[in-house]
Amino acid sequence: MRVDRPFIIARENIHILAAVLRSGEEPTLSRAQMQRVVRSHRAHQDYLKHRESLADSDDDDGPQNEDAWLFEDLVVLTKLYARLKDKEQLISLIFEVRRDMSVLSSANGYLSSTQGTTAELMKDIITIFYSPLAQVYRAASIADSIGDLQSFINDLIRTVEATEERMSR
Amino acid sequence: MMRSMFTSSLNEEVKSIEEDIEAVKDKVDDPVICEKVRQFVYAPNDIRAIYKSYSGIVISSQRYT
Repeated sequence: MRVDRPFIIARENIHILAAVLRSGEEPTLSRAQMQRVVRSHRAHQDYLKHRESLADSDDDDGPQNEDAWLFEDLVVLTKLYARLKDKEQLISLIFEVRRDMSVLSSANGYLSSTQGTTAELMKDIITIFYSPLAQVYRAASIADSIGDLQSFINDLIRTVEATEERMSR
Repeated sequence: MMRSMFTSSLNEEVKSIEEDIEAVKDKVDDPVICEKVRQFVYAPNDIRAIYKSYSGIVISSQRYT
């Protein structure tokens, strides 16, 4: 199952991309651009079919023509933007400014605090859990615990995804 | 210290992703199409969900063929 997934996701992206590019939202594409997208989408569908028919994925040399390449590039672009967005969200999570606090303290003439809530929280957690954690690390083999934690989180993610899917139906 | 560690590694990653994006943009050679892709990625979750629910229909009906 794990092997299938990336491919399914990639195929979904392409369908979604076609929908996104055809949508009437600003900025809308000109006629020529739309034709280019449609041509590229069709060529890319053919390429996907061709790729599916290959017995060995190593035989895949990428799309055969320029049209299909456009779509493949757009898929890559989507993934890159998604990664950029993830990173930006991570940064804002860590350096989230405690506005209420800084406003309060600057109003009182104190130094304003710009430390992120998340960073603060992590510091507290480490302070609280450091000594028990050190004991646990000494007692247990870390590799096993991390493996267990990984499978637990995997199960958790799967459960949440399944619930979300059921909810959206 | 942890903050500076995070900052430098994250900023580096962001920079390299941005470079990759520029390279792909150059290859696509159409700023409007790239902008649409960007808008889609940065759209809120519910809007992306709408596109996801569209996507099957749009393709099966082949409106533009």
